[in-house]
Amino acid sequence: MTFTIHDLRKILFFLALLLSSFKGFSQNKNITLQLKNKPISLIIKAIEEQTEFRIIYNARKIDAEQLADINVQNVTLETALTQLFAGKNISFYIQKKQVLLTNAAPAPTTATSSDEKERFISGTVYTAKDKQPLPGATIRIKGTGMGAITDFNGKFVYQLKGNDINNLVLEVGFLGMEPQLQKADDKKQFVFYLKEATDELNPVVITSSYGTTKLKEEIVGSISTLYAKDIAVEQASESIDKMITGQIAGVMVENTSGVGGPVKINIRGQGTLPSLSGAKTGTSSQPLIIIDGVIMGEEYGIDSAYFSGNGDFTENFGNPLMKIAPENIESISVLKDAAAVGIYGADGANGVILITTKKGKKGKTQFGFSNQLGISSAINQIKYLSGEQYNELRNEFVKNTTPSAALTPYNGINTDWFGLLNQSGIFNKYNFNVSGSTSKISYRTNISYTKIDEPQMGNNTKQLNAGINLGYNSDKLNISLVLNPSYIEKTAPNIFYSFAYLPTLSPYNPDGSYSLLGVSGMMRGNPLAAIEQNKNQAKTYGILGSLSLSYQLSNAIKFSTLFGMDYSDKDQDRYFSAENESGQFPGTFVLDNTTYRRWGRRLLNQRNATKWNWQGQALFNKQLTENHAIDGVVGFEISEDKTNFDYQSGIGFVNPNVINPVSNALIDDNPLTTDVDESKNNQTIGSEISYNSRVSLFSQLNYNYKKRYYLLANFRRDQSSVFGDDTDVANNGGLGASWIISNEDFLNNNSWINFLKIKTSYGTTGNSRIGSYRSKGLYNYIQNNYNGGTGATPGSAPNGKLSWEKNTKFNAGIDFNIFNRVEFSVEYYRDDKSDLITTRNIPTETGYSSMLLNAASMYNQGFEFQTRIKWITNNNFKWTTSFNISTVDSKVTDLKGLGSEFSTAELALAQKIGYSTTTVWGIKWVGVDPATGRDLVTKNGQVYDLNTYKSLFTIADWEPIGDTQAKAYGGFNNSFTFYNNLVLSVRGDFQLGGDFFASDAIIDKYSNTSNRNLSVNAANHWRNPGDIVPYPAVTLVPVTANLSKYVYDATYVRLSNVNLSYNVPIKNIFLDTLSVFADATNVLYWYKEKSPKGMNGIREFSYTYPQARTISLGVNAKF
Amino acid sequence: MQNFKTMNYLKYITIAFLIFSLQSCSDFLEQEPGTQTSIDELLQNKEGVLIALKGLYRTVEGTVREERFSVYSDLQGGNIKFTPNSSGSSLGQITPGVNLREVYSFEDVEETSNFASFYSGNYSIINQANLILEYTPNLKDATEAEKNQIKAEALTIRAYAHFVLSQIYCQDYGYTPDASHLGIVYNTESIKSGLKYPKRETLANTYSFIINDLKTAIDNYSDTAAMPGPVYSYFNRNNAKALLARVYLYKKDWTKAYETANDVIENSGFKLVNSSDLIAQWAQPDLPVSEALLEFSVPKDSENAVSTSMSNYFGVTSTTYAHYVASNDLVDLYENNDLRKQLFLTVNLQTLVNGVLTYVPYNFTRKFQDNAGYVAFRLSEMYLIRAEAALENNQPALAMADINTIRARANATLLSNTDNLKEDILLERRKELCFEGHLFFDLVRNHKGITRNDGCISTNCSMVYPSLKFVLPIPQYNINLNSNLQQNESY
Repeated sequence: MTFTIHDLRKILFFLALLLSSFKGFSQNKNITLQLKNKPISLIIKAIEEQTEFRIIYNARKIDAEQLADINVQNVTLETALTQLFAGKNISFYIQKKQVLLTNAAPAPTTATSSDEKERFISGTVYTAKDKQPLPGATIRIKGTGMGAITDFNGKFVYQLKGNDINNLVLEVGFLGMEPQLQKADDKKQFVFYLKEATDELNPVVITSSYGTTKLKEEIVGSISTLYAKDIAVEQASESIDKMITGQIAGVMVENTSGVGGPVKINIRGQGTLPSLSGAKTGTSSQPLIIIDGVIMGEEYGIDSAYFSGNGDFTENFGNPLMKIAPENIESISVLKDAAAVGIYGADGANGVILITTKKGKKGKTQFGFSNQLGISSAINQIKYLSGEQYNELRNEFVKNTTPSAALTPYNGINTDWFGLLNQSGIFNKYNFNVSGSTSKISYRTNISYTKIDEPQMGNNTKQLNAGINLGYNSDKLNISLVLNPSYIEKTAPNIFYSFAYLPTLSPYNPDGSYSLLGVSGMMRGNPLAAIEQNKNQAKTYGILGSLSLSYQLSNAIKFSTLFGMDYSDKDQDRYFSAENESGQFPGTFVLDNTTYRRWGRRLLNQRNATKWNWQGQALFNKQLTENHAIDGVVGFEISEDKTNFDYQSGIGFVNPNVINPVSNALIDDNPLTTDVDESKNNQTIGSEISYNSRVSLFSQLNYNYKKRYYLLANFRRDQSSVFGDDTDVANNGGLGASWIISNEDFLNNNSWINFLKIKTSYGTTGNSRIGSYRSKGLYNYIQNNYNGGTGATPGSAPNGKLSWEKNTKFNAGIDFNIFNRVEFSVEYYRDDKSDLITTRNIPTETGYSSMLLNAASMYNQGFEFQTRIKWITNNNFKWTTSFNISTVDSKVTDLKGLGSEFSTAELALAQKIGYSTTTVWGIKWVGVDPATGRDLVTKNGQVYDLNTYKSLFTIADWEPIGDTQAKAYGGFNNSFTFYNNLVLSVRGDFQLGGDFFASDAIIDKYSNTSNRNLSVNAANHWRNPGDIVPYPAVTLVPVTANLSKYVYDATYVRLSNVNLSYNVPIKNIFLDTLSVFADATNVLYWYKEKSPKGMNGIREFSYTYPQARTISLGVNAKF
Repeated sequence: MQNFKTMNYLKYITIAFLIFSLQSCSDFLEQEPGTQTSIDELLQNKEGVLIALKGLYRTVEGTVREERFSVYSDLQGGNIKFTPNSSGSSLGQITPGVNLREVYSFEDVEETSNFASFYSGNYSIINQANLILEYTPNLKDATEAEKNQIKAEALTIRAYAHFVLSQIYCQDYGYTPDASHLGIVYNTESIKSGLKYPKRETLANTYSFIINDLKTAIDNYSDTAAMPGPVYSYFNRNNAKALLARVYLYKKDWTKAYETANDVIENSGFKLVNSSDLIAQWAQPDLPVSEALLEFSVPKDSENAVSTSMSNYFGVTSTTYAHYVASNDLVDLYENNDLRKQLFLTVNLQTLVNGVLTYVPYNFTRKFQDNAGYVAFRLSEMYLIRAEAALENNQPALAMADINTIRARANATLLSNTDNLKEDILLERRKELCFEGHLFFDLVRNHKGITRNDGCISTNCSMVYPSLKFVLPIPQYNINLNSNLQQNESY
């Protein structure tokens, strides 16, 4: 038997393995422990549990009840004890399986002498978490500012000088780490373990969904983060977006009324051109929302009457953020500039919102429970004409338009429809959570149930959210599973708020039954009856979840991958009962030779969306030399969005007063046409799809020199199915740089500047969420075509060159922290948007009259300022204020080609170079002619009667009469803490400048009085020559929806939330903490423009669907 | 350590491979819409191309049968007058109707041209034909013969659409000696080739493109239509030649006009309808006259009921009547024995005469009652083309023979001399082809003015040749968008 080299190797390898395992065996078990502020006795017990050692001490000499911290991972007993007793005047000896604690210092290596004047010390600074040497940490002698910096291996040497060396205190600091103090005593060797700072001034911020993080101070880009403690989840809202309104600089959350409508968040101004036709099927203007790495889908409209978002048949869009319980959110980061969003390439143009959910925290299993109950009422409601006022106005209209018609005497009825349809609402929320962690497994489960009975009668929302977060962490491998199932049930039969019913009609007949109101259409009918008889319910099941895996290959490299999915299944089910007019349609149908009226409609809209993304990336992090460090990420991402739409509609039922299935809408087959089955002609069944997919490569590289100069580069390549075939690849990238001036030597000793940083970035991003098929030319199928059968004719024009909208972002800013109390930052931004997609007219010689083109450019620019001031940090009273304000200035700079430049007068929009896309276009109104009672308008300095104006000018002569974009907006948050137990928070938001364009339909469109009421303002109309009033004579005035009199200054300040919470001091019961709170949401509005006395103004007209103010009480417990 | 490194490499390779494979896996990035379909998706197989072709025929039919074009030439030329309003406050009043009001008076306006939809409609047809032409050669599931047939039909349609556009928007071929005056934009590429801002060809070029397309088409036709359905409802070799003959006639290429018309008469297999059948053939519901070389099928709804047809403009029933009737200028042209005089249906209608409602007789045509389709080509026209071409080729005897064939069939007295043959041919065309869209174009190409007497309510009842108003304005919409596009003079 001979050994070959090969065999020898094998044997050696085997032996080596054996040896190493022996080594492991012979060693004592290592200790992993993380305890904070616990008695030493308890820590000792914990150590004993993890080792075979017994720790012995004399309880009289050792103060075992003093509190200490320990945070070690997989270290030897010796290391653990050294850390535990650091600075504690406790020494230890290890003997066999016993550890003896003494209160004497270990034998000094050199004799201490009281006249020592100099001492040469050395030491090492490690990170507490992974026990790695920490280069670049500063060691300073407290009170002097002098000291040393650790080298590449975390080591330092220094010559202590002074009369009382033993009492000198070494202070070790490192950005992002908690500073640590050690008294010199008589030591020459020092070991420091620095813990990552939980310092609220410099937390670790997640900078992308690809695993990159940075200390707040080291971030190059523009990222604003809110943490759970800053988010008032007690606000009576269904989703997080409404709770953060005004709390993040540069982020405008459009204030919508009602529950569960779509999210409208504008980051640094309007994302894209608004549609001039009011279509909701265009380019997304919303930021990309990513939850724990999962790209959230949004509900968007498609070219289908059932899903376009406009019209009676269409599905009502929902709020995707309702899938996540606000209580389950750990942090929200808003990425705004090119350095921050560059890694998102063609999806990043509108900004990115990263949301992380809460994970299990180290420690014992903790249970949390909260309950909240509140009452809501409608506020700022529009006041309408009373029965008598309406009757007078109507008669005047009839008299003036049909002189021969007889006038109607007032019937004495004065129905307050608003009062009937609005009552007290109830807000109720339960939340229960369990979390905990062992050394390897962490877990957290959250269940919350919210029920909102809106003040609007009949409308309510039930929302059940769960969150499951499981984690496995070993040395190198991390696995994490996150699931957020949700169920949302929105019942909203009361859809009649936008229709002002006549006050002279009684809702009831003399016999108590519901009356008919003489109006028709699905959005009409006796609302009280409809609420009872109709159905409008949307149920959404959702699961948003991800599975991720990461592997630490070495100190420098980590691989990770994540598969995320956002699934939702939504059914909206409506029934319009024939018992009220909303279900009474014209026409008849014949079934079994009986003629019925075509009454009752069932409408089902289903949306089933799956959006998944799979990412894989390598993260690297390397201190190259003492002064140079790099980190970054390289990876890929594939994602697909598949949305299926189905609809069913049936009209005309034999018994239309009860809810019928669509299949009941049957008619007789025509016997003359044997080859066609007409029996289902009253049913419409169809389906649509919207699929798109994307493959991307992304990378980010960060470099820093001495932790002072930071550089960042992003690059991303996106290939997407939605782009035209000729241009399906988007390359985007960004560069950023920052300089932490406060880390420079010349500022090191400054006592009042804690932090000073300047930063800038530049780069390109895109907006690829332009609808799935907009680059493709489409054919529409048409049945019964030429000679019978299916034919197809072209629909929308193809544009092989249609590509993503581009957005070049520039950002520059200063971050400043002073006196340990004030932090603020100022940023300037400019987003140059080009290739904005818009419909342009094209020569019809092409076969088409219009085409989607990348044909517009605009910019948004402005300043953002945010500050946080700790006014008072006394133990008994703390007062902190946050405040932010942002400005935005926007203009269209280029429009290629020609197109319909103006929208309808009701929308009052235009696309014009040199004007913001939010400009309101119309006619400048100067008053009502006291002589004639007609509207007077002005153009080029001339005053015209509106009729004359209309004969002289066209739509092209419209002028800007307002701008719906606020000049500045922001918010504030004040928090007052009394005796650490009582906390009062006051939050609000505001808007300066900006206009609201009200609809003339409820103001002075007198022709509407045939079946609708008008707002009480109409009572102030012209009656007699000499009257100076804002509303013209009651006649068929030219219908001009965009007169400047309908434009109101929208400047407002809102007190959005006041919350008072009290931590009940509890002892000796099973609860760990208990707090009770009172909360008021949507408390008060102040508008700059006051409503005229007794009439409506901006305050009332702002929301047709009334807003709700909610006052609630709640309790929050942990055990 | 060695292990680590290997693993390391393996990982990189795996990731690199994955990324590479994803990038190359282009299927993942192909996403197609649902009930609508993309051009690429639809035209990838024979079935889809035929669906598009079917849609194309419907567009062609809709564009030429639509009121504007289908009455234009006869209205302008003086064959047509209007019926009074049948109800309402304007009962008995005679108005030109909104779709042709300005055109009727030769006062069309470029901003609001009556024919704007006709202009864009034809270019839509042309784009659809081009799409089919571009995708058909790549079909994998069609035989060469099938592909050639589809190609031939699409080419003929393309030529036809360009030809009818040139009739409306261009002065006649002889307007300048070499036809160097403005023609139309000739599109041979679909929108897929990108957005273009084309300019107008000369009329000479326009005609040569049309002729070229037609010749290619004629060579490609097989004997089987691309789609099932009545033979007369699709373009085929015979009616493509008929179109070509008409184009040569307009071009005054007498030799080729003669040859081509002769070819159809001799070789198409079609025969003129007999005298005895003439009236019955025109009166039969739903079917064209047997000598129709091409009549487009009218649209029908899901219950197989005709939704719109030529009777919308010319029809009369016991309860309703349409807007257009024969002027007495036309009716009076027929000899009493002429069978074609029986093709008028006289109905008394309430008419405001000097402010008093009076019953006045109106002559509706029998050609377009009962769901009639638009007759694009008919064998009679080929005889008349051959006659005109023969005369211009100095063969008046041949010409007279052809005219007499038509006259004999109509029971009219035969011509006995060729003294005034040119006029006789034009007159015969007017009588034979009335309401089929010829009169105005025939007058203009013969450099004649128009004279409208009976029932003319226009401000311009008579016009002399030449007139800048004999062509309509290119819609201002297109002029605005395309600086290369030249407007017709006087607009």
